[in-house]
Amino acid sequence: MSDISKIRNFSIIAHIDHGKSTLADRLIEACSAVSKREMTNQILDNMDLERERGITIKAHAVSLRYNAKNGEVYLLNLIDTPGHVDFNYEVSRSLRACEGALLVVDAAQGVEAQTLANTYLALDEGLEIIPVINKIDLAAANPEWAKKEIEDIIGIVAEDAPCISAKLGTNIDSVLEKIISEIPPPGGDKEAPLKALIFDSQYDSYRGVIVYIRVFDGCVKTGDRIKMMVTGKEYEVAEVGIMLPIGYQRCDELSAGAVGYLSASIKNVQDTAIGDTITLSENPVQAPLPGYRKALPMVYSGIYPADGSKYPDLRDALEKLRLNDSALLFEPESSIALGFGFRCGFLGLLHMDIIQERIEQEFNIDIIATAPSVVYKVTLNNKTEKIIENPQEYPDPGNVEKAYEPFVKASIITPPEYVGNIMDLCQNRRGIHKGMNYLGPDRVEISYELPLNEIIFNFFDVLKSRTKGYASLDYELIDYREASLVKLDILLNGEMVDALSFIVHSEKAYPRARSIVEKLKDNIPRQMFEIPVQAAIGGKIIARETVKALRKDVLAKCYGGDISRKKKLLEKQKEGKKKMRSFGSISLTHEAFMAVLKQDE
Amino acid sequence: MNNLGLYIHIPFCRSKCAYCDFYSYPAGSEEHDALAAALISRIRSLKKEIDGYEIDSVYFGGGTPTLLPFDKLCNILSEISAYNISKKAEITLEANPGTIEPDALAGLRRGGFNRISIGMQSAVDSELVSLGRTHNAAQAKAAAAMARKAGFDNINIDLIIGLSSQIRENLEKSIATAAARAEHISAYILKLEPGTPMFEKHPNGTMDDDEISRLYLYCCEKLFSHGFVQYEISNFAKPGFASKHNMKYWTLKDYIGLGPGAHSFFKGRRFSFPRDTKAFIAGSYSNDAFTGIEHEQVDLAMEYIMLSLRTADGISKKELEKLGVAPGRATALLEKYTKAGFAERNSQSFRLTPKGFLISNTIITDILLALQV
Repeated sequence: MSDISKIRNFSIIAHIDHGKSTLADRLIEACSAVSKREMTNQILDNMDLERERGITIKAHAVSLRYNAKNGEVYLLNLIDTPGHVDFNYEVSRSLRACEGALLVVDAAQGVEAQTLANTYLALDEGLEIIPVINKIDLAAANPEWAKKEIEDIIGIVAEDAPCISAKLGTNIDSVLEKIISEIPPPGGDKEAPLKALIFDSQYDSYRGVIVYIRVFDGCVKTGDRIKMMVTGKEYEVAEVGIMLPIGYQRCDELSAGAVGYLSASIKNVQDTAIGDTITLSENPVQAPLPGYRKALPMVYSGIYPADGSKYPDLRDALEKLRLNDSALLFEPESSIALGFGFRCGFLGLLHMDIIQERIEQEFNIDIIATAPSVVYKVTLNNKTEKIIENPQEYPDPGNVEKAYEPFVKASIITPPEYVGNIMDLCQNRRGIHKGMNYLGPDRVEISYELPLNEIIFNFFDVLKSRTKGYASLDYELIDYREASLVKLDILLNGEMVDALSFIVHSEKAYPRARSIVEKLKDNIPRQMFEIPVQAAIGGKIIARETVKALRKDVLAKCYGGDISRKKKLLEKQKEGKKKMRSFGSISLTHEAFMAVLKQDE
Repeated sequence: MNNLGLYIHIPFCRSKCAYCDFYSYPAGSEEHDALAAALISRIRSLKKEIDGYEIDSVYFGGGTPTLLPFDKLCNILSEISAYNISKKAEITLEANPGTIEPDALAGLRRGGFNRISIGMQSAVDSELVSLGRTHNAAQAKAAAAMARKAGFDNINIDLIIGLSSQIRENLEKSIATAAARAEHISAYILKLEPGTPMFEKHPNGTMDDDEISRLYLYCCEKLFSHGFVQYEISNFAKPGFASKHNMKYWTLKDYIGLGPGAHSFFKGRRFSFPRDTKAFIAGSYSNDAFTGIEHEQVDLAMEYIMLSLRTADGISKKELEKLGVAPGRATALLEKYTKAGFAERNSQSFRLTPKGFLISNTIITDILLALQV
């Protein structure tokens, strides 16, 4: 497509489950030669895990040729974005590559927390926002109300918003027409020095890393020598092209306004930073595109192989996962309790969950993960500052002058009848109430500042259960605040299990300690002797339970007919025991270990 | 000459006890006859298989074998006696109090049975009711007396430990009653099997583990004071009266089991008949005693360890080495158990104490893991 005026670069933003992916499918169907038969549902969600969970994890892009009502042919570049709060930065970079965004709102649910969050991101990028009311097929759908919410809450005109059902395919062409009429074509100067944004990348076994780019100025073609401005690395372009629904298509060049890919024998996805600017080595652009940010992990967890001999397999799995996930960080670490493993950094809990699940399912490695922990900062007595990513590194309280924990700003949108429950929950998690805002007669937005370590366990699940699933949550890191922190240690049979140590606010220390020793008592299988289970702070025991000794585990009758059955039982018991980890002299099953790490209300 | 044990299974019962999950059911007399005929025909076809073997134990079990008329039982036994059978062979019949009477017992004794096993379970009537047994304590005592009178000088009485709210005094009474009337006592810790009425009634067990273990240890002590030596987890006998047949199970000796659901360990193979009386009867009119059997895996090292640890002799280092197992790997573990009072050991062998028997499943698993079996 050489006529820049016929290009439209856009994304679809929405709250989870409002129909973003289904709409993407319908748009692709409407524009492409891909028949229904060839297209699997939600072609943009091409990982099994994504499909299973119904969420988009990786951003992808696709170019669609649209024959408009006016007889002209347009090139629509749809850039898909992850919808989860963990991946905000990736969302913002994908939006940066666009001129417009379709804002999809569920006609029955209306505006929700991530609708707002994503809209603000899009507005920040200066995008033209086209509201689209979806799911009009539902009995509970109320398009007029949804339009009004958009106007009142977000403040953009929604009168002419197309009302569609992505599921049934109703009114999709009105969306396409709106795209070409409302979203401006890209600008840019083809003759200027190359300035292209990396908004995504993916490792391919034949081509190496494929870099997805939006060209703002200049043009790039095979054979060019390019430079990544943030990392400083240079490469020779092997191939450029665009992404069609049925696959990649090489082309001669990508010029200003275009969205496409390039490959340049890049070995490591780590070398392609999302948000980085690509330019030509010989004629570089003066300044890179603004907005680049190094993706920082918010949550850390130790991941260990359940079977120590699988350590190399785990390392391989993490390296393979990192191929396509530049936000995943990991470093070897070891624990007396768990042996050798890795300390991994994630963008958030969803990211962590996904990686853990992939290791277990795709790579078939049973793992033990320590409780997720956040990054703390301490100032020692000698005035040096230390960053603590691993609870075991927490210094002696005697050496700590001040400690700081990360705080987030959380926005919860809910029907008014649950406000009390929510405020209770946030109060319990050391939240600071920042305000309440009526978005409409049945929508309240509650703002709280909360310590991140109070959210990372099961805040979201408890929130959902206390609000019958109606509440939605969005949060972002705001700052670090001074806190009275302590390190809680767990001792089994008098020996400290380092993997169970964690950092907690002193207010929460005693209740956490109690709940953990009780859970351990219920989860540790009885053994030859009585086992004391203790929680301690700095060597001082603050909670204790006892696991009684095993008294009876016997097969009273074992005659001819019982022998085979007994053998089977023994095999099972052996397998079970093999999976147990020894912590000092105590054996724990993986389940027991994990059960302990879950927090209560 | 190789020794062989023979087991005959009669899967018929008047009614099912609340705790039973054996293969047994109420059947009519035609089925009794058909099964007897099938058993006889199969015994006859054993000829080639057991050539070179001397039968030194026979066991008629069930169900309630004594539901069959005594002459039918003797017929079956006589077919077995036609083979090479030791003069000192132990020939046992399981009997349910209430299904036997003096003439039958005399007939059975004449026919060659020399050991009788009476399922008394308890000498306390209220306990018997909760078990769903069809007899009372008085009948059980009478049965034992009858057996003596008929000439049985080798009697076993079964007891159960761990009945709901069973108190020590009741167990003591049952032990004393049995001890006065038998040479051999089997005392079983009650196991609630899923699918049985007792399991439904007591889904969480009849009493807690600590209580049952105390009762078991008490039982072991009491039986010892009555002169019964414990030779297996649940089996106690006056010197010379340990059950030859049952010992075969725990010492990996040869035995053949005939009848629906019966198991065999013969010539290095394990196999069994399916729990299907019709199928067993149908297949009997052929030349092969083993028509219809299903084979099972054999793992000698594992079986040796798990079975010998049930006995008072325990594991022998020599035997382990013969089986290709390096005993050294478990030394530390065995020390640990010995120190804690669960076992006793010397340079040649390792055996469990009653306290160890109580947690033998765990100990066996640990030893198997340590020895990498």
